[in-house]
Amino acid sequence: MVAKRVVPILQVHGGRIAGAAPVDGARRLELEGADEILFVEQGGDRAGRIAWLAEVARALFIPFALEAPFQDPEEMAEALAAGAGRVVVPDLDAARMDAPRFGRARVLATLDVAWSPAEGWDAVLARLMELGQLGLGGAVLSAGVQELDDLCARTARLPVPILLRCADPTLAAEALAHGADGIAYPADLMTAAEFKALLSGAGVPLRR
Amino acid sequence: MITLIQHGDQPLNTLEGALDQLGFDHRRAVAPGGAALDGPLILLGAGPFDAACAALKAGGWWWDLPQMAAAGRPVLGIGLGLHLLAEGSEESPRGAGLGLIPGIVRSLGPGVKLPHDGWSQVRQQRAHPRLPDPRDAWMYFQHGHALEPTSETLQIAHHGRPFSALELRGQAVGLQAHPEKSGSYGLVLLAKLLACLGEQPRARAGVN
Repeated sequence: MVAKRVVPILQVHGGRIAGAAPVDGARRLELEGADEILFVEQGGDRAGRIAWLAEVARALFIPFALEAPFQDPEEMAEALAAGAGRVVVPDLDAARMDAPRFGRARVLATLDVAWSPAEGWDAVLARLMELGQLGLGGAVLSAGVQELDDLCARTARLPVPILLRCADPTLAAEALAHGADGIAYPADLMTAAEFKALLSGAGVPLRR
Repeated sequence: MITLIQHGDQPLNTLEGALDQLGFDHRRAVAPGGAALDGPLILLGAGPFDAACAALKAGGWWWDLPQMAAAGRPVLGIGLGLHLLAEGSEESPRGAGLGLIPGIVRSLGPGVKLPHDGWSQVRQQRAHPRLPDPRDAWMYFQHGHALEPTSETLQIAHHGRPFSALELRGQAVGLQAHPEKSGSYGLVLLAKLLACLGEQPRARAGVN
C-alpha cells in the first residue's frame, strides 16, 4: 500500500521563504512529519535557484519537488541535477517539452481543473489521461470545492498519481478517500503533524 | 572511502548529505580511474534506463564495473541503480544490464497507478544476520519497474504485485527504495548496508 502523502507548500521568493533560507523551513517540515515538500518559486535568478536547491538537497532526507516558471528544458535538467526529485511545470504544453528525457516520475504537470456544463467531465478527464500518455509522473491539481468529490472519484481511475491542492483538512480527507494520492497545502496553515493528525482521525492511511 | 559513480546528470547531493550525516568519507568519480582505491562503489540512478546505460558507457563504467565487482569490490545500486545491476529491464527490451544481480526488471502493474511514487512499507522475506528486520518500515519509492522477488530476496514491498526491495548477492547490493530520501530509517539502513559491505563511518553516526 502506498501511504497518502501530506505535502506542505513553501513559497520561495528571491531564494528566501518568509525571510528565512529554504533549507531551514524544509528541515522543520521534515521533523514535523511531512512526507514531501513542494517548493513553488517566483522570481529569483537561475544560479541562485541551483544554490538553494543544492543546499536543501544535502540537508533534507525526504523527497522534494520544485514548481517554477522554467523557460526551457535545460532549466528543468539543472533543477533535477541539483537534487529536486521532480519538477512541476505549469501546463501540458510545457510538460510535453522534454518529459521522456528526464524519465517517468520526474516531471509533473500542474493543472487548474474546472467543470463546466458545456464540456462536462469528459474534457477534463481526456486532458488528465494525456498525462500518462505523455509519460508524466502525475499531476498537481487545483479545483474548486464543488468539484472535489467528482474530480477525485474520477481521478482514482487515472493511470498516474494525483496530488491535490487543498487547504481544508476535512475536504482533503474526502478527496483522499475518493482517490487522490496526496494533498498539497500551504505550509503556514498548520504543521504537517497537525494536518496529519486531522487526516488520520478521518481514517486516511498515512505514513507514521 | 566510498565512491559515488557520477553518470550523466544524476543528482548526488542528497546521497552525499546522507553520507556526511552518517560520517562516511566519499568522493565522486566520473570514470573508473577517479574511483577510490578501495571501498564500496555506489550506483545511484533516476530517470530512463537507456540514458543511464549510455552514460555509464560514456564514462567507461559499463565495462570496468563488472570487472571491479568480480575482483571483490562491493557495489550498491540504489533505485534505477538496482535495475542497472540486474540482467536487463523491460524498460529497454533490447538492452542488457550489468548482470551483477540475477533477474529481469519488469513493469509494475497492471491495475495500479504508475509510477509508484511515494512511501510504502517494506517487510523482510529472508533474514540476514547483519541487517535489521524492517518490520513494515516506510520507505520512499519512485519507479515504474521493479525486480520480481525470488527465494533469495531479502526484503519485499508491494505495488500491484510484490517486488524486490532489497537484494544482496555476494558483494552486490540492490535497493529499490531511496534510503537517502526515506528519513531516519533510510539513513539507518544505509549505514547498515555499508557496514555489510565493509565500510565504517569515521565518526559515530548522528542518527539513532
